[in-house]
Amino acid sequence: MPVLLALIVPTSAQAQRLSVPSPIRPAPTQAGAHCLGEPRNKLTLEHTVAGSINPLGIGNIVRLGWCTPLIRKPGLLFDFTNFDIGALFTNSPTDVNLGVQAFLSPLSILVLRAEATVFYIWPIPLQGAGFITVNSPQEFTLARLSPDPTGFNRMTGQPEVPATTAYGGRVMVGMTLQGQVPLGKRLDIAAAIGANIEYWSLSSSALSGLPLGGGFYSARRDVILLGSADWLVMSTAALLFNIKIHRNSSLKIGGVNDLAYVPSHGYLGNIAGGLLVWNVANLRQLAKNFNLFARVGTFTHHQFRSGITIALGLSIVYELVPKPAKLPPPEPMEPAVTAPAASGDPSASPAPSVSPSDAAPAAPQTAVPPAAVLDPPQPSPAAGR
Amino acid sequence: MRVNAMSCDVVKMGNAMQPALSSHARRKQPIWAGFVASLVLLLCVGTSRPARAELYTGLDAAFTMDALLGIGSVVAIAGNAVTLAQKKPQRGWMYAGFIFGAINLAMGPIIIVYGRGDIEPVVMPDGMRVHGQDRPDIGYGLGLAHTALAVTSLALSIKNAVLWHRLRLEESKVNAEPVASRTFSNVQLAPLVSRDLQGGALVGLVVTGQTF
Repeated sequence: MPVLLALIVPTSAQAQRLSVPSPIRPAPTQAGAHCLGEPRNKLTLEHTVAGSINPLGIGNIVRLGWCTPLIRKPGLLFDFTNFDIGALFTNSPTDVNLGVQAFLSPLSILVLRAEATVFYIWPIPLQGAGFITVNSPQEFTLARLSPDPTGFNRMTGQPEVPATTAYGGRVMVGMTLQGQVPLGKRLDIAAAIGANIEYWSLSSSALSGLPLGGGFYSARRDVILLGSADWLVMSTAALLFNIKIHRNSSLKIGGVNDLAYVPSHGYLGNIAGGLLVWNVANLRQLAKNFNLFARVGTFTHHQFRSGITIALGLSIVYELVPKPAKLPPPEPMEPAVTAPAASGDPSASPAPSVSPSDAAPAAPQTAVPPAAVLDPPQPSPAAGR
Repeated sequence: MRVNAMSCDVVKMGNAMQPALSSHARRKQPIWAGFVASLVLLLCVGTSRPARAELYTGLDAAFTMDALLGIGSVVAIAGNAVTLAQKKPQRGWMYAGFIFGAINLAMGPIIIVYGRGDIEPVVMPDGMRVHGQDRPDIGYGLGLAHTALAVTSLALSIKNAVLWHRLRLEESKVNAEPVASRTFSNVQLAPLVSRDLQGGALVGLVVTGQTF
């Protein structure tokens, strides 16, 4: 059995909740597939919409990226090397983020990542939404994540600190190792593991009265961070079977694990689950890497959450530059067979014609879904539900 | 002044206009109806904002984001409607329609389900703030408006995408054989010295060219 180490899409490792789209790296079908399967510079627009239940949330990611091949030397280790930098915009019902994101793949199996964003958070009258402070990490409870917007506890009538607004910045660096091995004509197995380190820094009037040891809730990561700035470590691992159901479409099934760790107070959160992705590599040259995905998992480690967590979403990449090439001219059709009139023989029907669209070249298959698929965006307007 | 977005029945409005349209206009009616419907919906979205200042903290930002996404969808609908009417689909408008359509499609049902609560507290005489009345009109109005914008935006974008692909197919069917070009190439100028039929001197310039 031929064993081939190839690449997969760079995944962004993240922790329990999501985050950013990854660069676009297609599959190991040909040499020099640096940017979306081709050895050429590309300007792309990537869009991801995803939501989750437990915790409840929905988010949107738009990334305008420029990809260029890095090492054009032929060889499996270099065929997918590239540098990809872009502007990142994410929003949800309770926050908006704007920043830059860059990926560097010095080897096909290695993706380095850096990201810097500024953001603004605001509350809405739903549980878990907005900037919520805690007096200590032990206050990371469902009740504290659901402050009443009036400032008075709905049950007890006692005053409580409501959710408020905040702004700040976030910096992330990380790396991902990835590989893919064909198991047959229609089956591949792909694996990826990544780790990211994030630094969050915020400013809010609510931080002024915070006692020593207090912190705030990060809805995007579903963790408590201490003080007004803190570090966070995240890791994502995925093992997926890639079943090619069509030359332009595949189904990916496997397992995924998302971990978040806060060194300042030793908190660990982890979700293990299954991932199902339907991928269409090329939508008639109008879009590429269309992914419809679903993740069903459970909390193996969490302060208070339990049960099933579900995430659904879609991710799609538009190739802005270069423009789609002209379609190849249709193959000359053979003269149609004239059906004998009233012969009554169904086998004598005219030969079916071939649609020119069928002649469109098949796009390379992506083995592992983009990071946005592995980690769907999950701003949480209602973390408590 | 507050307008209930739910009262804007765009479908009925579109049907009422139909008999008055000529057959030519009727062919384009879905496009322009979509455009007009979007504008009406935008008005509904915009005017359904509560005018009072005492909103819960953060709701002003939420409504701003809400309006921006609605406006983005309206702009995408307008662009797609125009390019569709011209039968010149452009990828940029299609992408904008897909993106804003997807966002609004996700927002609509969420607002309908979770956005029907109160939006402004009531301050009691003792200074305590309590919840005001629930506002299902805003939840339903905004949610339905976003959903309608999403469906319109996605429908126009998909229609444009189908046309775009069809045009590309037709373009590929064009004979690849070289066709006559309006452009001369290999143009040459040469002096001409000769005599005419009567034996007179003939001096001139010969221009030769070649077309494909």
